[in-house]
Amino acid sequence: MALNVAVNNDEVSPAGGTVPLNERFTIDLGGPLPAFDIAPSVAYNATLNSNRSRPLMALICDPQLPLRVDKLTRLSGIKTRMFLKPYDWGVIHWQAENRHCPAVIVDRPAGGRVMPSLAARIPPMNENEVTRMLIQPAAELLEQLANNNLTHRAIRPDNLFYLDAEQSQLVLGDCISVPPAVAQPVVFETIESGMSLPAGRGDGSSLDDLYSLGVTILTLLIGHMPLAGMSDEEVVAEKLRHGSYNCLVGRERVSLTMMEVLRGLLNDDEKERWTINDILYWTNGRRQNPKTAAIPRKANRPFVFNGNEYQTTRELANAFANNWDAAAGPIKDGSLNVWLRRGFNDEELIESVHNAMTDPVSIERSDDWMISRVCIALDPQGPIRYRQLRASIEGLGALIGAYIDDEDMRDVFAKVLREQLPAFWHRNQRRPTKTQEELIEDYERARSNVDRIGLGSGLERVAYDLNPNLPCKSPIFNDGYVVDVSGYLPALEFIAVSSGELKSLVDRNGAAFLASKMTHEITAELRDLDNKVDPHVELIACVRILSRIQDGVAKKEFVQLCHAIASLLEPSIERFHSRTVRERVRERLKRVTRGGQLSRLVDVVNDSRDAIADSKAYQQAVAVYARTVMENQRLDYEKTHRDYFAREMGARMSSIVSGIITCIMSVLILIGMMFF
Amino acid sequence: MSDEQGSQSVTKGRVIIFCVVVPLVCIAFFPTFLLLLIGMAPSIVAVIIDNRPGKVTARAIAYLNFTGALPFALQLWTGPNSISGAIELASDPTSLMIMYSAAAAGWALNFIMSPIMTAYLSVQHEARARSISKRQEALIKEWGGEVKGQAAGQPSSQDQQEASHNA
Repeated sequence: MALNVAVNNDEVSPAGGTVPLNERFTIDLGGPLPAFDIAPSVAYNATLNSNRSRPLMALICDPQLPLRVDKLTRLSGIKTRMFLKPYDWGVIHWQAENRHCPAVIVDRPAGGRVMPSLAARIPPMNENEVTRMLIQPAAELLEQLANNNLTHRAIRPDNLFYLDAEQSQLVLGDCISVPPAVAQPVVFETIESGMSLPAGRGDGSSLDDLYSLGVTILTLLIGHMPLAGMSDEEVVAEKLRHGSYNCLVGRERVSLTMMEVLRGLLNDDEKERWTINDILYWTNGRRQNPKTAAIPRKANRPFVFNGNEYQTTRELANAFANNWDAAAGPIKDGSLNVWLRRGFNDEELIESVHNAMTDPVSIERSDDWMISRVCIALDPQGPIRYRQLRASIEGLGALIGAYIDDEDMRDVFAKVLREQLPAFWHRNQRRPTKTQEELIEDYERARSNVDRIGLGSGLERVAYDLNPNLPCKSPIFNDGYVVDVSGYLPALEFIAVSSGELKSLVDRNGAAFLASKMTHEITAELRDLDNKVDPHVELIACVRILSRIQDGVAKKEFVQLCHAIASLLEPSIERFHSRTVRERVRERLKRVTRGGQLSRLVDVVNDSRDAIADSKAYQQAVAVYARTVMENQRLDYEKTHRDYFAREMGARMSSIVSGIITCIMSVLILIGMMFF
Repeated sequence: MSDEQGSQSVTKGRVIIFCVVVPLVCIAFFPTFLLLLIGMAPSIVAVIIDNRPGKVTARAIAYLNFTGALPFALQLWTGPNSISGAIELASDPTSLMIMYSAAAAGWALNFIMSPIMTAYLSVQHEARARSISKRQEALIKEWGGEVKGQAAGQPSSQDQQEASHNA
């Protein structure tokens, strides 16, 4: 669900009023700033409580997307004026949709947006202005970012603002309110990043930022976005066919000076692309020998696939990915092999493709597996592609985070991990970076979790493990935003207060979220959560997990939450057989809920002494009832044969009575005989 | 000593009484024996026809029959304690009527007791049914219907057999 931005553009704010953020800032929901919206985030006026004159704004972010909050501290430490510095973030109540949304506080530029939208046309900027206002400060910013192991990944003209009202300085917009590069048009992304789905682009490196900077520079110089009007697929195909520089700059009139920068920044070969040092040298006036734009190696004759001709392996891999179902034919019938042998004198490439087609373990594999591996072998720089999944190695984890609710994507992602495609991608890299190697290890670890069906495992767990910033996607928090363990209980308390009841405490998604963040602390409880036979065990496990969060992280009382949970605990009370004990437990629960301590709830409901005593007493009661049933049966029998029993008893009684009479009479007779 | 050995010694004792003691007593007190034989003829018949364990009906008749015969036996002991005295007493219709009437009273007591017991059992059964129902209600109130459900299958067939055997 994207944030409802419609209310913000030209309309009055949905509710107005102010919202505090972390007791440091105040967001004025009556003061929308549509000129500074950075889709999908919307901007509102904000003030620092201790210094109200400081120009700030709050970006209300899409709650379905993970923020890059783990980078906030490092980003706020960057000392530059070229970047809207983030100060803090928090979760606010967004009244327009009656839900919680994350908000980021950033600097508010005094000037407007450089380019109102990417479809707009603006007067071309002078190359000196571009150099002074953009290239030089951007290079310094990127240098600082790189030194902090950070990337911006949102460098594009519509995220570029004038810092001052005089429009003498430019500033880059926010980069933490959305996942990296998720809002970047394909034109502003490198070929391999452009091939990936927006959610699967990943953090990338400063080289990706430099490429985006190159396209942004070009856009400002020509006054419009290059390749406007083309679809994403067409843009990628054009870049593959002609190379980025030729494709983007080819027909535009750009000075030789700028051509040098653009050729360096838009080089498709990462090793040849200008680095931050190169651009810093350039801004300092050191001119370098212009690098020739990398031209992809072409085959002697084209490969005809699906009615189109392809001359490079990257183009062909891209065509295979775009026509997935048709790709298996030429791979299997050997035509690809023949083309590679005749078109390229590259034994390494041929061997790599051959390895991609054969399984060393000799397990019968699917066509999808083979096509995916062949695509990697043909285009090792490209993303991992598997049917509709396309993600860079850095963005694979982010992709499953974004598509965790999409059944098809879940299935495909699981196959990618099961078939160890990240490891195969890694084997095809000449010089993988350390970050990439660490990611491969992460994916290998994640593979062990993919097929586990228990709560706290499975793809959900993988998604949360690979995305530390991913908010909990549990349906419990449909209207909430929980991104760390400490936010779990307040979000539940909010639901308890607003709706008066809780339907569930920890579901599959919630369990995976919590397991990812507090694995060793809740292992036993996660096992109990899987107990579907006895609802009491599952419930107690839920409350135990929450109490651990309360004791370990939240450290505050949750009275309303305790009330709501107490009513949820009815099945646990019902497990006591004795009505008296149940009433006693209910009374105790009422008392302890006032304290707001979840652990006390568990203690009351899960008292083993009570349970044992109740169980023993119940067994005795069952035995007593059984005896009454037997008595009843005997009584029925006696009633049915009452005449018989009456006769028998009558005979016995008459015998007794006559015996007594005999005794008395005998004594009387003896006395009579003696005295009369 | 086992039960079997005990019952064997009881049977042995009875045999000795019936074969030795009773004939000796009968011979020693023959006139009395003769009087009682004639006067307690209804009891002897009752003993023969009573099939109940313990011969309780016959006992009721015999006890009262004995009460009727006792004054005449005492009269025999205080008068001429001879066979002719016994025959004289036994041939007296009044004495015979008294002795047999006493036996008839025993029979009558037997017949009267049966409807009395029927009425008594009816009241007792109602009281027991109420008591059982009350206890069951209390159990269900405290432990819920499940205590009833499990208990329904609880009584073993052995218990039921025992109940019917006792009945």
